Amino acid sequence: MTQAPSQRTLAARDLAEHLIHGELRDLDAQDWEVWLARFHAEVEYWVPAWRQGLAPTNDPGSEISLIYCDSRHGLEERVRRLISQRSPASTPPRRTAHLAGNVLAEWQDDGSVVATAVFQTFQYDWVERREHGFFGQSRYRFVPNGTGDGWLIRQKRQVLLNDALPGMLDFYLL
Amino acid sequence: MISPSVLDTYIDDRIESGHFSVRRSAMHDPALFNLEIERIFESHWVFVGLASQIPAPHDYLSVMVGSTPVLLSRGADGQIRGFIDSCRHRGARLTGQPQGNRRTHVCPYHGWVYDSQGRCLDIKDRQHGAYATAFDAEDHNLVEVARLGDYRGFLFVSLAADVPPLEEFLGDTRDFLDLAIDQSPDGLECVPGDVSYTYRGNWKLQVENALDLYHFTSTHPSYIQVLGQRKQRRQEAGGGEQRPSSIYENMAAQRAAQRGTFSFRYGHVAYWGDNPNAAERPLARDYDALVKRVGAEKAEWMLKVRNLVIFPNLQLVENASLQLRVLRPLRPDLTEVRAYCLAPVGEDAATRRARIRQYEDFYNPSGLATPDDVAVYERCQHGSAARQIEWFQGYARGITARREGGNDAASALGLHPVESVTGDYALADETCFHTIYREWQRLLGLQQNDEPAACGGLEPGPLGRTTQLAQSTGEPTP
Repeated sequence: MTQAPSQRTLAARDLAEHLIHGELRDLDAQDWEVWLARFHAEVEYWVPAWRQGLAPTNDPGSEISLIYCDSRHGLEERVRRLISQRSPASTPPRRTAHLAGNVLAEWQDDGSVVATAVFQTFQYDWVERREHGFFGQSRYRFVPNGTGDGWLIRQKRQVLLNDALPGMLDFYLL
Repeated sequence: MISPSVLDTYIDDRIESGHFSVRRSAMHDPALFNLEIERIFESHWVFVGLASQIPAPHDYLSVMVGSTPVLLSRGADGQIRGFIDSCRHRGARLTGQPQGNRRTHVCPYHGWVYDSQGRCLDIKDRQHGAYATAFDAEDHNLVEVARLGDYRGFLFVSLAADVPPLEEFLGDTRDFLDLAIDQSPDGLECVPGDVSYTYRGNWKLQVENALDLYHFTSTHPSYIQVLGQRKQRRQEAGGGEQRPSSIYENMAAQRAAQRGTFSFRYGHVAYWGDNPNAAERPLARDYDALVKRVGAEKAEWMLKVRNLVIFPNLQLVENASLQLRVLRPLRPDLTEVRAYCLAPVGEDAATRRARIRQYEDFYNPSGLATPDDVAVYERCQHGSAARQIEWFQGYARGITARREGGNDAASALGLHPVESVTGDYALADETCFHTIYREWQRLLGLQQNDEPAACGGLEPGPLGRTTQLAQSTGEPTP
């Protein structure tokens, strides 16, 4: 038996869906400054690797991650590299379509909202005319911003299920 | 099938007159690729894994050697053995996972059972099988690989028996392996976390890149730019910044530093450089203790930038952190790279964390540098397919700086390279690739000479490289 969700839980899900879809829209629009502004200055942005194929690594201090940033600086660096025109892997950026589904969310005691979702991101390299799709599971923690009129991403963790990488991986392809 | 006379023209080795080149089709020819798998990857020593990946009895690793699946299993007796990972009955691969612990390996098809030492324990319903005595007379055990060698936990396999002993094959590269292994009194360990990627390019592009200093400033300017921004941010923040620093942060000092290469027998090459930013290294945090344990000379060499290529498929790359790469050619234009972060056993938690961040930053295919390498390999594969141009011009830097045998740096470490080069950063030697291609050519069976490719071709082998070239192509000048 599954209990009927409370109005409060449904409200958390609506909020999380709105925030997640907005973030992914910014990525697809390549609206980098707007995208960056969605993140808390001390965001933990984390894409773990897999441990012998069986489970994702769960301690970024003692295990390898595919991407690990412990502040927004790490994301800003990646954005700057992407648009620098000086990175052969990033020039020109690929076209993307990000999808998120199965969003569920709950309020936490500290006032944050934790959400889980599945993601699927299609990328198209229009120069080489080839495409690839990454998919996996994501987990977000949203916190109210300082002025209380909006939300920031405090944690974003994405477990990539197809981790045999075709040459490279970057934040905007997940 | 490629005829030997054609194969002989893949390299143009006239070093005595200042010339060395590789034919562009070496990166593309499917028949040549099949020969590489057969005569290099399946007939000579290749790296397969670390003993520390299978520490306990019955632990196993399942790997590919060329196109052959190989099971590395630690038996009940503690000994590591290598087997062709294929049931004797219908040939099914026995391992369903890359790594694990199995006292017995049971074939999922008809249930034949093997122990962790490769012995066939059971043939299902054997007594009812109406087998002829001829079957009973056959050996049903797993087929062991021809050679398995272990140098201080680095495991190598050869599928052919007629290879030199592993110690001879590795030669002086063992000293370079020691510089990594001895960074802790308890040796090295693999930091957990699988990272593997493929690129649409020939495997030799990755072999070369590990020794290619020339590309750094032109392929990675976006990374250098990020490092500059970090430095600025750190200065503005008054030193409180926690982002990882890099040995490449101070490019001016890098440019002033001494660099060099050693070429060894059997196609191995070590590239080294003084490290003006050595203080950034996790290893430098307890330098006094290190000096006390290994001596000043060795400690200094441990802090140098060192890239080691053990031909054909192992790369041990150390600048800020230490990476092990294993290459696997899949097609002439497709290569798999498996990457491992190696770290000294017993490292403290804060140092380990810093090491991991540096590693991810620089080496990961999801980091800030490696994706650009991969992108340029793919450009090379694409561009060099142009059949109108026969030869690369990429093996000429350093020709007038190279010398036969060792130099002061080699003497300091007690090494006996067949060739060595020293210079400043901007020299970016390319002669270190010559030894690799000479060995590549030798293993492909292009020369009658059985001596491992070593010295610079001043003495032509029995076939005479230059004569052979002239016979088969007329004028080989690109």
